[in-house]
Amino acid sequence: MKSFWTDRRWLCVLPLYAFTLVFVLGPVVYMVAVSFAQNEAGTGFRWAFTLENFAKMRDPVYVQCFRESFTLALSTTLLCSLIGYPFGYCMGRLGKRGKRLMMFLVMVPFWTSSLIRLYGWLILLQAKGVFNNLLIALGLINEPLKILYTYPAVLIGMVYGLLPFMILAVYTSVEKMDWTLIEAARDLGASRAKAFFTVTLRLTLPGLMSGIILTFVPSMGLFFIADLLGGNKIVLVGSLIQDQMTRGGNQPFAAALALILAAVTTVMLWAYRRLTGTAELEGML
Amino acid sequence: MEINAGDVMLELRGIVKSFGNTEVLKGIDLTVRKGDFVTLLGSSGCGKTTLLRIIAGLTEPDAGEVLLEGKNICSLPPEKRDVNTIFQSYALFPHMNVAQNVGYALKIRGVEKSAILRRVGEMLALVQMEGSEKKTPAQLSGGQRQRIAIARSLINNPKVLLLDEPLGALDLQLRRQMQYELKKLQKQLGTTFIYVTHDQEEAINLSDKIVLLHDGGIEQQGEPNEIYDHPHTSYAARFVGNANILQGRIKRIDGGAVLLENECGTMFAAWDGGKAVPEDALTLAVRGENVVISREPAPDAALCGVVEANTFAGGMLRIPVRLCNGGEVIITRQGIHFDFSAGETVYLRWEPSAAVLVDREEAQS
Repeated sequence: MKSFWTDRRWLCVLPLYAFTLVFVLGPVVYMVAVSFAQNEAGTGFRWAFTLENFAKMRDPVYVQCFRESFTLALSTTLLCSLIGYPFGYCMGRLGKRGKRLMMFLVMVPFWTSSLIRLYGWLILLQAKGVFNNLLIALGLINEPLKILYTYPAVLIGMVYGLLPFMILAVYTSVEKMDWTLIEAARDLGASRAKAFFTVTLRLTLPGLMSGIILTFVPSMGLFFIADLLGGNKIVLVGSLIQDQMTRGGNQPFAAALALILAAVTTVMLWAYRRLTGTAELEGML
Repeated sequence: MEINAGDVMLELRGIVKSFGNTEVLKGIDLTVRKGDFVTLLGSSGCGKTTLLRIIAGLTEPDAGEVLLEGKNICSLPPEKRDVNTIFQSYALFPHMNVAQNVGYALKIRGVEKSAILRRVGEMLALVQMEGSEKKTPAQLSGGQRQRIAIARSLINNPKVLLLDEPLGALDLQLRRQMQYELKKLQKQLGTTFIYVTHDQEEAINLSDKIVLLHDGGIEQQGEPNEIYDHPHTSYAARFVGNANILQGRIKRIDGGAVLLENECGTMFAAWDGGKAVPEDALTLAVRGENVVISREPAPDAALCGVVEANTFAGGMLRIPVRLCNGGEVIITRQGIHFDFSAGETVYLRWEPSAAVLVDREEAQS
């Protein structure tokens, strides 16, 4: 204990702990507490223990909302993996200059607000937008397609927004690959494809898994993409929470929804650690 | 050395390879006999690893042919070639245990599981690693990883095993032991080994045949004692025998000996019976242990010089003697006792048979 008083280095990390305590742990505790409080129309809520906020979620409307969010998050993650893995893989196999250029291109979108970029998609996808004009000009369709304010539009927006995270996560693990191992596999009789599936894929799996977490978790909560490109037709848990918090005025219910969402995320993270045996997320920026 | 067509395991014809503007291999022709332990010896950058990768199919040559038992395998991908490689870094799969690593070649070919396990057990016994099936590469020492890499690449009974400086990462003592074991293994299995190294001692200890590569070409090839005793070039003499290279003009040819002369005196070399014009400048190679040193000039032939220092290393004394023309002769002696001290003027001589003429333009027989 003597060292605790003589060695004052612990003082340096104190602000960090204080910050975490006040701004991370505090709100979470508050949220958990509110989720068990009673809603009171007009005045907010009353500190009285109740489970009704959670019971309310069994309503088919909300169950449907969770299911839809989950399906969208899953499809987003799947598409991001299918596009992002080959992308990140190829990027990792480029030369030094190629890598730098691709990294630049992947990072460019982050320089603009994601909201502004979504308005860009609005212009691209609308009935008389760039995308439809192109298809008509090519003679592929006669009538403009209705893409905007549909499920596909939301999916496009989600994949667009989250793809860089998948790419970077995969790229990081591909970059670390020792390619001599692939040569060894080929030398021992594996075809290109077999070497990929038995060695490369297995060794880059941590990257892919990080990418999956980095796309799945946010896509459960991203509400503004669905609001903008889905035209309020697709209600996700994220939008629901925002709605209950602001317009609906049911803060305890919003807190309960957020708590369940956080629980799902935590389960996902736990599953990730069990599956890959790694504690840290690769490609976390 | 004539070789029957049936005895030839591997043949390289006119292998050329460039990386960018650098020509790494400048037309290599090489024949490897069945069951031989052949070493590709050379300093770093001489193209020896590239040559090995071309045989394995991991690098494509710009020109030339690779023939395995008479069949051109140049168009075959590495997995279709009946050769296996031991990589310098061993390249064990980190996500597989020892048994999975060793059994990989069989699993990829769809061999039945029980058969794989049996064969893995045999291979591990061969490299004295029984019972290590469940360990991961990370749990093994460098020497153990080496053994597993050997087992993994031999499980499929390749016709040729390629080894890329496999002992480079091991410490001296372990390296000596592994040298011995590799040689024993090669004799026991009768597999043709092609071994890449920059260590001439290793090459001499292990090889049936040494191929000395220099600057993208074959400098000399032959049995270890042949290259050691009869180097054709000053490079070969220096690299394989650590020989001293000296130049002089012909003064006299006398039966089996030639007397050469330069600014510092005269010296003998074995006469190779080649073409010679008096006053021609010739180059000779003489190894340090054959140089006789004395304080008095010898009556027949001697070079004059000054002892610079003497250093003891690896059980040997190494004494550099500076000649009056700026050249240097390094004398080696067993043990630690040496009667001459630095700064002393000395005379060097050797028997005609101890020095070989090198860098002769006409073809060597």
